[in-house]
Amino acid sequence: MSKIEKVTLDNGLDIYFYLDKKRHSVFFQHITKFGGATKDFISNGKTYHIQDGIAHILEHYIVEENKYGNFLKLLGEAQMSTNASTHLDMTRFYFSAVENVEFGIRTLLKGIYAPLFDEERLTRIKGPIYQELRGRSNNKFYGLNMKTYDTIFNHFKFRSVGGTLEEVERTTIDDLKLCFETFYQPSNQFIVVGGNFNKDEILEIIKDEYNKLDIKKIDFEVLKLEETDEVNNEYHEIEFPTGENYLEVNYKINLDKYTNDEALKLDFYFNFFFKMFFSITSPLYNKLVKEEIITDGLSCGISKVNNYIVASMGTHTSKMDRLKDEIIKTVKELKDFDEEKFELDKKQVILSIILREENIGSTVMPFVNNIVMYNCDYPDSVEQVMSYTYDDFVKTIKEIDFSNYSVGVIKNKE
Amino acid sequence: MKRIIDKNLFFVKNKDFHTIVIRVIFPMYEFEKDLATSILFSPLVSYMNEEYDTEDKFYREKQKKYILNTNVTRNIVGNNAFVSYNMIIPDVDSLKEDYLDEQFELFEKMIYHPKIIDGGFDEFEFERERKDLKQRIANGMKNLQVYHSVKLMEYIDTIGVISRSISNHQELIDEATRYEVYEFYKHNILNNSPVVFVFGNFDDEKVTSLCKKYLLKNKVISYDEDYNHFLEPRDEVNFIHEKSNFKDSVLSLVYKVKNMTEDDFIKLSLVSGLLSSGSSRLLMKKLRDEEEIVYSASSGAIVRSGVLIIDCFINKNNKDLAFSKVKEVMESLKNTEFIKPFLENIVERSRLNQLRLLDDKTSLLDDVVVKELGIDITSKERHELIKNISSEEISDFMDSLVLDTVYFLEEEEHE
Repeated sequence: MSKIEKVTLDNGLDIYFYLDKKRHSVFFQHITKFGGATKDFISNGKTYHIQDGIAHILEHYIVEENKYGNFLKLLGEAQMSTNASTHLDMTRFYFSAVENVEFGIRTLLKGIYAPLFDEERLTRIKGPIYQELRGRSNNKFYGLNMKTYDTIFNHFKFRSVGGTLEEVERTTIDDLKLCFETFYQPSNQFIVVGGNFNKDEILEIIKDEYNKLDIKKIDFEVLKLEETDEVNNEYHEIEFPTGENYLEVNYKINLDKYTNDEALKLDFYFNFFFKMFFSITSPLYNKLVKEEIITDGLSCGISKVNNYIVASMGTHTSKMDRLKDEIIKTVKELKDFDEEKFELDKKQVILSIILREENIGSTVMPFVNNIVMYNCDYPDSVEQVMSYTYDDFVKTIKEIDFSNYSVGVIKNKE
Repeated sequence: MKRIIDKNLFFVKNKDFHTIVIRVIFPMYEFEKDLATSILFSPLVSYMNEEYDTEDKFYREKQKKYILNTNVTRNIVGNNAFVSYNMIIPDVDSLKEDYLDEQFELFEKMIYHPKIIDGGFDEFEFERERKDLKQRIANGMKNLQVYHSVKLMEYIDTIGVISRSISNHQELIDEATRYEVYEFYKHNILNNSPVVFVFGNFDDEKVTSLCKKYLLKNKVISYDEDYNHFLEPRDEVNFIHEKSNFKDSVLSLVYKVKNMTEDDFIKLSLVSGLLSSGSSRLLMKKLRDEEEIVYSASSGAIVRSGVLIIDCFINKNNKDLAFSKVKEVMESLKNTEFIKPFLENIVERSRLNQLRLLDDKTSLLDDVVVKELGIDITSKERHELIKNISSEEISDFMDSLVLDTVYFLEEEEHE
């Protein structure tokens, strides 16, 4: 895989370049390490605990209410594909272009650092955000997610990136200004440029734009609250229109004992773990199908919130108790380790890493996630995965404390 | 009209990617009575076959042979369906080993040797897929976007083509048998001839030989082409107001083209582009930037039905405002001076898209597939057409767009 080259500016901003001369586009991303789950922090010596939704509102605000105009509109009118998004632990502004790349970079960077804070503007952008949240609330999994976080976290008060309608309504311009000044500093941000470009030219453009900025340096620290490993409740449910009931088991796993590199490795191992124990090749899946507990496969995934991984496995079923018992039993017993399967899955992962080069986004996004989630600023590599062994995989999975879980259910109203 | 495809193997050579994509496409006529069988047969042939007769066995075998992905897709155009068996494999340079023969052989088993017991698909698997399909439909109809889309098609379709959906014919799922699904498979796959497309970096001679050995048949490919079903506008607008349990409201305005012909395809697409492409976004300018009443508004053209659909996700109290503003936007498209710069933007975006597409292997292959099957023109051909459409032509075309249906799906309550 082509190397990713890093340059750090004097202001602390990291810029990563991934050059691929076979491509025709440039994919530019600006990332701030501030997302929906960044809620407890110290800024200039004062402690803050903010409500849900602020990072998302700030994202909208920066795009639409800056000195230079809605920069997504401006980039769209210059024929670029462009968007912004807020995640658990980052906010992204990005575009993809085949021409006018300089215009894109300058427009984006100017706009990001020039929001005009006033209440009237804030009121204006809230309307579409209410609509966006209303749209999301039609999604049953969105509702379940919120309830899951509510149930499994005791002290960490995070439910959703978007927040509730009431939280949006309560958000003030001072909230936005505080978060902007605290987190939108170059030392808390990074840029990734991927595709076909002249690196020196792009670097000069970025430097030029930052040289024009006067960004106040603010000392801040993201707080890690004293969160306990136990969950609030071993069961939670939401009533929501659904064709068939849905059940998942959510495991809360503390990452304190892992270094950053080990946590990244654990991310990979969870991939193997899900395939081995819950995919169509697993004994559990075959049993669940044979006994007509499920008709479709199990959805498995992890999310990283604060310093915990939430690992979820679930699917639609009419036999909820049976599904729940089988999943919990499988995780408790961990008796389906299979070395041949591990080696086959490992080869598949290695191949997928090699083939990521086909697509700029496929190469860049896992790299971005490595930085934001695990503070590892290196891309996944063949050598890295080749170093993973079956024995280490088994040992690592067996050492995970799977005793803290909550079962989440979506069911129709009685 | 009978379409005859006299060439059954197409290569799209490209060294910029590391994978080879193979599509084996069977054209067929889609009858309403086959709705259930045509949907049920796909999973039954995707996950297992005669030799690898469980999901596990087939998946493992694919892994051992470095097959990245296989699936079966179904694309409907009017009364025609195109069932495509798809396989993605790494090219030989990336893999550093040649597994092509084994890969093609396994692909052939998937296509031509399904798991059949006593003259039908396996009973347990069939019942499982039947149950799964019903469950998916039930889940889908509880989703706002899916529900809205199914109902909208019902309301606008007066001839039963674009509204033909398994959601509206669930009795067919219960009536289907594993034998009928096998008969469907035999008629449309086993006794049919595919067109094969191969994309990527490979040796022509080798792949030609493998396609002939495993995939192709020595039969002429012909089918009754029945793509276009233009819907004539009603004399009066059909207003539908439906209450729901969803948490959001959707207002849809549907326009139909009077006396639609294929020459109007590009103009109808351009009208949709003026309303909601990134270069123009007239709908969002009005409804979000000016009025702040939407997060999302979009448009789409179903050219082979002569239909333009505009959807706005709104608070129910903004229904009348949204309706009037959308009509304002539509009216503005008659102003040639107003739309001229937006049209120029769309042409420019189309030019740049030709370059952008070079990075997207799926689009590159799709371009060739739709052209050779007569389903659509290529993106380059589209660009040439767009370049030559004037704002006056669009303005004139707007007179043939008639508001046919207004569908308001009202939310349960609002905050």
